[in-house]
Amino acid sequence: MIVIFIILIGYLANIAPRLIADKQWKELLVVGAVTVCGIVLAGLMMVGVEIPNVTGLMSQAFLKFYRMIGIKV
Amino acid sequence: MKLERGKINGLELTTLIAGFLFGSAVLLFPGQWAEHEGWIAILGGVAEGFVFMLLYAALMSRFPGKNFVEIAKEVYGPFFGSLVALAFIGYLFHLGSLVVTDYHDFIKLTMLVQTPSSMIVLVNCLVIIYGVKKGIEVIARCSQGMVTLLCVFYLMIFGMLSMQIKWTNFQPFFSLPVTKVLWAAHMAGSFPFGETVAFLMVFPTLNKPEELLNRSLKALFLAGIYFFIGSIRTIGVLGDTARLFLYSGFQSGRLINIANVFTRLEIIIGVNFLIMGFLKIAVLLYGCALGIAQLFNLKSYSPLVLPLGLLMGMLGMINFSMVSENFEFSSLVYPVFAFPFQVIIPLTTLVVALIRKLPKKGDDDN
Repeated sequence: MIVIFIILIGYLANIAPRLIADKQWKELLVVGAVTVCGIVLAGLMMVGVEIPNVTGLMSQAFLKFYRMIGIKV
Repeated sequence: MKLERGKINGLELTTLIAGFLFGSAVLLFPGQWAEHEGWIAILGGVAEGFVFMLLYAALMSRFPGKNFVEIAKEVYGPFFGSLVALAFIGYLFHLGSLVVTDYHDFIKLTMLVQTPSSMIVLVNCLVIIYGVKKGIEVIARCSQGMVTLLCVFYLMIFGMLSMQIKWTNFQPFFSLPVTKVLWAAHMAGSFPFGETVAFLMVFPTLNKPEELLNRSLKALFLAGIYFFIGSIRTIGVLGDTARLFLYSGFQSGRLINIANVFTRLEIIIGVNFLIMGFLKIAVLLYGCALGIAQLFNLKSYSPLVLPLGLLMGMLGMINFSMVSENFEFSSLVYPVFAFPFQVIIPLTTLVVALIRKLPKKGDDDN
């Protein structure tokens, strides 16, 4: 996971100055936001924080809903 | 402003759609829910896929040269259009992460058992990111060779296993409840046929838009034959035991034994999956990056590809806590979860466009 973390930080450090020099503020905002999300997620996973299994939880919620409306699964 | 200047021809579109459909379905036999009547479910799924494709083609023919994000903005207005487009892009992103999960689980369980998950995902994602950065033309050209190779491998595997097919495994005919077979057919319809909704981001790159429906239906037909042969092979060789295996298609390849010389050729099926998985994730990542760039009126989608691709990969690693959860989701939840994105949103968009008589004359020049 540390490799992904480093790649993303390196990418941001590489692209941000170029976008600033070109005054592409919107690009900087969007690319920066997506990259920072990646860096935070990779960082959390790197230090061993338990990230919820998003689709697994959604799947369980669906199954509960099925049972609630009487569908046997 | 056009963000994608690449153009693909009809043959490339056919192979790209076919490769996309083969994707994870090379391993995860789509009609498995219907047990020995899986082949009927596949036929039902193909029929559903044809209806989906007619819907997407009708939408695209009304707005030639525009992808779904542009269409949504025009039909629903800038604010609601952006929300609809965002939901659609979210679906593409999530679907991409699900394919990464399949990719990762398969490699982790069958080939590289001790390799860290992050390395498996990273190596695959970097290749896909490189492909997507090069543009849709490159992905489409890759698909021609890859799909040809896959068809050759597939027929080879089928030929080697044909002597082991027991036709009694298909009996008794029509013994399962109709509802079960219909659900399995809908499952096959939503995965993989309905997932071609992602091509609403790719269709405008076709150099001859009038060929869209013809080429897309050819790809569906090719994929239909492919899955039908696959279901015959899997059911015929494994019989009722097929449902015991996580990757029944892969398992059937293990049984190849020709004079004790050609054995353990399941790796060919594994390689097929890795090749087609590349195409599927690449198309989804491309659609996602292009969609976000258009949503925020960026000058290029290229800078978004790497962070989005790695985010997709990381989400792929944390989607499920175990493989069985993935199968539960695919069989029970996904056909319902995906329905709004595959049918309701495109259908509503088409109906609203018809009611509002869009596109208005003079709108075609942008």
